[in-house]
Amino acid sequence: MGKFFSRYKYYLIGALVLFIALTLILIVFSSGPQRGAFNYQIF
Amino acid sequence: MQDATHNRGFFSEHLKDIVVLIALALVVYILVEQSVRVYLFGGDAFSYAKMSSIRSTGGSGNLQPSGIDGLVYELRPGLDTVFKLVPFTTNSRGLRDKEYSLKKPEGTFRVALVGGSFTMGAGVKIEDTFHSRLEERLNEEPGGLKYEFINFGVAGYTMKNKLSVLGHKVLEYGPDLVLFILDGSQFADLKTRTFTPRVEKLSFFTSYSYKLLKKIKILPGRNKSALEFVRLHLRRIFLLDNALFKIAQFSEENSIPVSIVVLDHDYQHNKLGKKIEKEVSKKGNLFFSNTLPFFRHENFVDYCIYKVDMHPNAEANRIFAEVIYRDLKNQSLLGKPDPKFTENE
Repeated sequence: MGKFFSRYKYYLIGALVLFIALTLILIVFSSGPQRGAFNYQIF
Repeated sequence: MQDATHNRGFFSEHLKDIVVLIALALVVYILVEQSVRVYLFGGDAFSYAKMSSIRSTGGSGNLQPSGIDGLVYELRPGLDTVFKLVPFTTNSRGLRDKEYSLKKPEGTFRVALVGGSFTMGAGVKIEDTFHSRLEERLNEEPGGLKYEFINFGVAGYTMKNKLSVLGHKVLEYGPDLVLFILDGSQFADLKTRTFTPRVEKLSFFTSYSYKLLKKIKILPGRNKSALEFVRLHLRRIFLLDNALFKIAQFSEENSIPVSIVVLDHDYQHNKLGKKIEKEVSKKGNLFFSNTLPFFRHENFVDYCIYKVDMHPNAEANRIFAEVIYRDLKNQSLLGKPDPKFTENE
């Protein structure tokens, strides 16, 4: 296990950074509910 | 021979890296997706049943084809399910409401509500909908009259569908008042819908991170805005005039007062609300109510069921109930029914 972490530590750090960055971008920059009532996705 | 062994070793080394990389990408995606779900839906994000309940109305399995002219589809009777995170039940006649007898009980004042998804209460518990609140509030007041607000709202109903409800479903309950609700696609939708029953079985696996990705402000949007919605309706205002004519005719022929209610929480539609008021005032026998001005200083997102669905939430419904209560009282539409409106009963 330790060998795995030491071998892939940069992969793991990259994945963590990617996770945090993507989550923050999606939450901070998304623009709220779509306005205009034709977009209710009834069907 | 040595080269072949070396190549195989090189390939298997990289294969392991690729597998690790793909597995990590998958883990990152699942983590991002779950974080987004918690952001959007709170604790409900961990419930399989609740997340599966977030479906389009057409794919919810809650609808059935309707044999009534102009209606296309209606809610299935006897539903007991979850829809858009909240319990969703229908009575034996396919109304999202409690059971009401067809014959109006003595001393009861009945109000029929004809509308779309806002009226049906998509994503709102039935006790939090504006009509349940109105019914409860009025029944708590002293005066002897018992009030029944009967909800004929079905998500996705266009003006044509609502007129069909008015003509074919409402009268058998003997209402003393009709609230004709302009919600959802208000009147500009020209599409003739067809309906095939279907159920979205994989709704749990909807990618909300992808939905948010499409809504990133800095990317060019393909979706229609509130202002486009208003412009389209103003262009097709003649459709409202045709509908109002039919509603006024219904009111006159059946001696039932009808109030046209603009039920909306997006203040960007305010210009449309004013135009509708003007059109309604041209028809002498129709009443009018508009919830839009009460959302002028409010943040739209605070009044939506969740951040990717604009349907009005419980708090918006509370305001709807306040506005309609005030207007119905001011217009003297809730007192003892005027004799001229009850002589046919």
